[in-house]
Amino acid sequence: MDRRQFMVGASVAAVGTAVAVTGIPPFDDMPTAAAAGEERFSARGRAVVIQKVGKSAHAVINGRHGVHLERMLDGYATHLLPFGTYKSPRKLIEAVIQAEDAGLLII
Amino acid sequence: MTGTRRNILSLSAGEVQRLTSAFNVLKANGTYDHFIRKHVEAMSIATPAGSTRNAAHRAPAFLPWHRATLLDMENALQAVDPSIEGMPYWRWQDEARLNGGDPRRSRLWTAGGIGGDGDPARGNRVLNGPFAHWVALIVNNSTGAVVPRPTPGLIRLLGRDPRGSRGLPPPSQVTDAIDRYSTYDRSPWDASVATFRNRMEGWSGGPRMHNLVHRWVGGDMLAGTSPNDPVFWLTHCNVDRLWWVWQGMRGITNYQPVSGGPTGHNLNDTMQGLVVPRTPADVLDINRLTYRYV
Ligand SMILES: [Cu+2]
Repeated sequence: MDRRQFMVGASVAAVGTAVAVTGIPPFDDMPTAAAAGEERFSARGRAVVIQKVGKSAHAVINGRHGVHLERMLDGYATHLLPFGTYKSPRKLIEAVIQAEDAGLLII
Repeated sequence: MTGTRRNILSLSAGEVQRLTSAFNVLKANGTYDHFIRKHVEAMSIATPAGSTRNAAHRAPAFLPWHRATLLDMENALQAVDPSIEGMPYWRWQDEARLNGGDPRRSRLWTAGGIGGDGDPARGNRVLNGPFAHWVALIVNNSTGAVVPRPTPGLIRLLGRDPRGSRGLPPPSQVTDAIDRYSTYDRSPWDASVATFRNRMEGWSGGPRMHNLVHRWVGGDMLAGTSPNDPVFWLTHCNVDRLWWVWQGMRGITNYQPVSGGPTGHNLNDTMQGLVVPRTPADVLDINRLTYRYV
């Protein structure tokens, strides 16, 4: 799989820039003061930061390279769990983390 | 080669066994895994970058892309065992009615079929049937690699995956798609349109139809690596059959977009991420592809 195909989108590049510019520190346990358009939470032992930019969003999980989310229909979608949408970025990331724990994929 | 595609529940025990044995040969020699990788590749090619469409889903080529990959898999199975008549289809819409409202009781999900539900006490691994030892491939999102899962066994959670759905599509969803949607697809050629393709794929008014079947089987069928589970092919063979029924009513060459749509989805574009590259136009007429549904 060629992940560059996902990474070339301008919105993703913008997220990457935002992360670099605001200099989010290594992930501590739980959210402190979140930046605008940013959501921090923990799920099944992972620290998650979601950055929303325009019609897409990007999640960084345990400081590792993250998951790209797209706005679709009345929710959010990911190519990792491609047969449904999720009401919010958080619900989607929680499902992806559950899927990793179930052995379906590696985040 | 030619294919005669039958309802899997109409096959004899011996016919099912020859089919599952051929799948096992393809799994052992790497051919099967190549098909899984190509599906992941197609899923990963956003058309264009930044859109929700990919080379094979959420867009017009959904039906021809899967028709093409089914044909390639059917050819591979018949190359292993020429006595295999064709890829069987699974009429998922009938299973609730045939099994007193509980499709998990279908003969399909037995050791003599394609194996049963996953065992909740063993990570929902399928422990019986012809594919019990299979090592699934999974996507490593960090590296982009498609790698073997460390522990063997397919994962299924029939009607009970918390990330999936509880019921299979009823027959009313099939008649809805075929009878009410005469337009194959329309701009913006994505998951938002109310068209035959999108009703079949199951975004319009969904989750329904194809998406709902993936979600009901659950486990490996929920990921981009869904061809891990051979039920993928039986599921899509029924989707393809229903498209052919629709084509019989609405016209074999009734495909949109002819041009001006996203790359890889126009009538004469080469579809991306297939084992054997083809255009939608190449696969519209199954008579020319020399298989038939009975
Ligand atoms: Cu698919």
